[in-house]
Amino acid sequence: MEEVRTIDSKSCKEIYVILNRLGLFYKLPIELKEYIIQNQDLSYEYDFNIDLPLVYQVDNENTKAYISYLYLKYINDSDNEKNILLRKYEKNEKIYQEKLMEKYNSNNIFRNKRLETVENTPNTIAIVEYKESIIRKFVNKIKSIFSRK
Amino acid sequence: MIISNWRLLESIEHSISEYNSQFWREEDKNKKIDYNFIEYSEDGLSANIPEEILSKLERLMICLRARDVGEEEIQDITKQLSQMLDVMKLKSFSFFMQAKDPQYSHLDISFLEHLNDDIENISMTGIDLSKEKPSRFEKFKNLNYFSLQKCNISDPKIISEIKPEVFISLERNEIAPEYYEDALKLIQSSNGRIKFSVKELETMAQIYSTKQVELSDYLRLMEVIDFDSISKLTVIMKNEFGYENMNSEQIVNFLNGKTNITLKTTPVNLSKLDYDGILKVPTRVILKNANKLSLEELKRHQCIKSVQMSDGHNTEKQQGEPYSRTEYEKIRSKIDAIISQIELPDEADPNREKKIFAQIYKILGQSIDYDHNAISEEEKDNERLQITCRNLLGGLLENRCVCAGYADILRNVLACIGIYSEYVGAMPDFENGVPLNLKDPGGHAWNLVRLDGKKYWTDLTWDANNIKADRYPLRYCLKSTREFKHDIFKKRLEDEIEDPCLESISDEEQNRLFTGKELEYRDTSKKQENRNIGYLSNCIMSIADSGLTSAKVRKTANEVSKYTAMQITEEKETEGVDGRG
Repeated sequence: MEEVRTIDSKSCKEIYVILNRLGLFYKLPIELKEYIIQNQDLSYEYDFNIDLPLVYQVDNENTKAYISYLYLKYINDSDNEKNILLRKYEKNEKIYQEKLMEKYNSNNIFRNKRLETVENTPNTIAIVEYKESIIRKFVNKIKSIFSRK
Repeated sequence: MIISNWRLLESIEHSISEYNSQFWREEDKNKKIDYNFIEYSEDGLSANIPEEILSKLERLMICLRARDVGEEEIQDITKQLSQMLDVMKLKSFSFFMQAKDPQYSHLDISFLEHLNDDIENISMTGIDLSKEKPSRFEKFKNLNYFSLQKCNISDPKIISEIKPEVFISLERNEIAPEYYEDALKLIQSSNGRIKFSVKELETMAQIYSTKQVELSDYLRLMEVIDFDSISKLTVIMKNEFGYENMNSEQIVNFLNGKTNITLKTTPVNLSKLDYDGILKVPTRVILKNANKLSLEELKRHQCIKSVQMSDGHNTEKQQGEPYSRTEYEKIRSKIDAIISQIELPDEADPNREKKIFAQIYKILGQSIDYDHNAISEEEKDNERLQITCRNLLGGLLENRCVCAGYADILRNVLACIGIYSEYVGAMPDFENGVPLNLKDPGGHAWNLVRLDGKKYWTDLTWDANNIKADRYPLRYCLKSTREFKHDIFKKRLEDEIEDPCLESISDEEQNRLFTGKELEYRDTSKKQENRNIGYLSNCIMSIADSGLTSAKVRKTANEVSKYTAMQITEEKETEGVDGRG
């Protein structure tokens, strides 16, 4: 079962600085605001320059995901934009799944050794399952027959 | 070895110092030549230099002034030089005799016999070599560069024993016209690697070395040069292409009979020559922008096989990469299709160009996405993509490009409707502009436009997401230098200093231009909030373009919902946001 993680303290800091500076922090629900304020990493210095596009100033993949969701859920006021974003996320998901499938297929055909399940989020540990290939099973069987007991 | 001539001694000291300069690292210091091994005479004008030191030196340059050195001293120098050269293993040897033109020094150059055979560079200047035979240089089989400048040479045969691969300079010599034919043969056999001071010979040498010739020279020199023997020759047609003995039709017929040439010219010049459209020579046209070649003109000149576009000063390598005829056809059709959507304001409208610009800016912003894939690690070695995402191909034909593509497309589409704009490329200014915590923004490109008599900066790349989200006013559209806020980049537009962009279009005016409506928010704080939402929206759209997936957003929604327990029920009823709608 997928573990529900908490928002990390560096992301809390970045979210707070960005939204507060833009005067949009007030749009978040009170519980969330409290959590972000209380859990931000105070030792971490983060500032941004409003004259430059924000995308150059957010490097943390978690922050990107959090701020995207928060924007979509609590700040965005345009249905048109919401639909554009949701379509983009779906399209990205499709592309991602296709890439995974491609990887899975080539592994299956050419290596037939390991099946990898890779999570798309950087902070989730990938589940790696080892499956013995048919050839390997065969070789092991032969080995076991002829091996000294 | 005793060197008793102080001028020669000076040359050796110079060579030693040059030799030592390569060992500047602390760990190499012991490789330097130690001057203590040189025994100087009391007056310092002569010295005993160990042969071991001389054999280490790779370069020797002797510079003498003819008026300072008498005949006796010259003889002494050449004698000692011969002895020195016997023990030296030089890579480069230069002997300069300075004298007022047209004087030459008459000296015996038999010291060359003592030079090592495997020397790579020989330069001699100011010495009369008019009586020398080619055999004098026969033994040097390892030369890369051979220069006999101002050596009173009239017959180029003096270099006939030099390998054809060597770069040769016979500059400042007056080659006699009766030897031009011999010179041409040498030029031909060396693929033009000989430099002359005679204009005619210089032109010929350039033709052979660059494989390019101007049409006027091509027609003028065809009796002298066997152009048919030069494969893949490019004939460049400039404004003055006429030839007194042939009219345009005869030139076209003559060129059509050639199979080894391609033509390079502008559409205007091509139209002058090929007004009947019968030219068959494969032609590349050079344009400043797509306005200079319509589809009709392209159709008329079937000889056009490729199109190269460059504004000549600001556009970069990728924008100047030639398009095939088919690619250009598609590009120009797309531009025409965009222009056909424009509602042209009245000619007398004082904001006519602004209104046209806004429509084009909006169409391009809506239709072209930023190509995050093109700048990804995976694709950085994809040479074709690195070009197409920065010229007209990616953005116009595949709706994906990066900043350079946006800027090049805007420049060309505007040009096709008669609006002046420039491509502006810039690199980050790490010394003055880029804040320390900002990740490397890389190079960037945008435009300078002139609308209804005023100049503005505009950045379609940074505005495109807000255009897609229908969020106006745009942050980087039609701004003055002060308000454009691109200080993190080093701008390179010289005319900005002479004629700066002084005014921005106001938010109200911009909103009217783009939406046809008045700004919704009159209240200052609400207006500011609207601007800030637009700013954030731009970033959110970019994050989405860079690959954020719905699975990740759903996961994030789960995490956030932990802290918004009160809202969970409400959230579940909200369609879309959690990715299930």
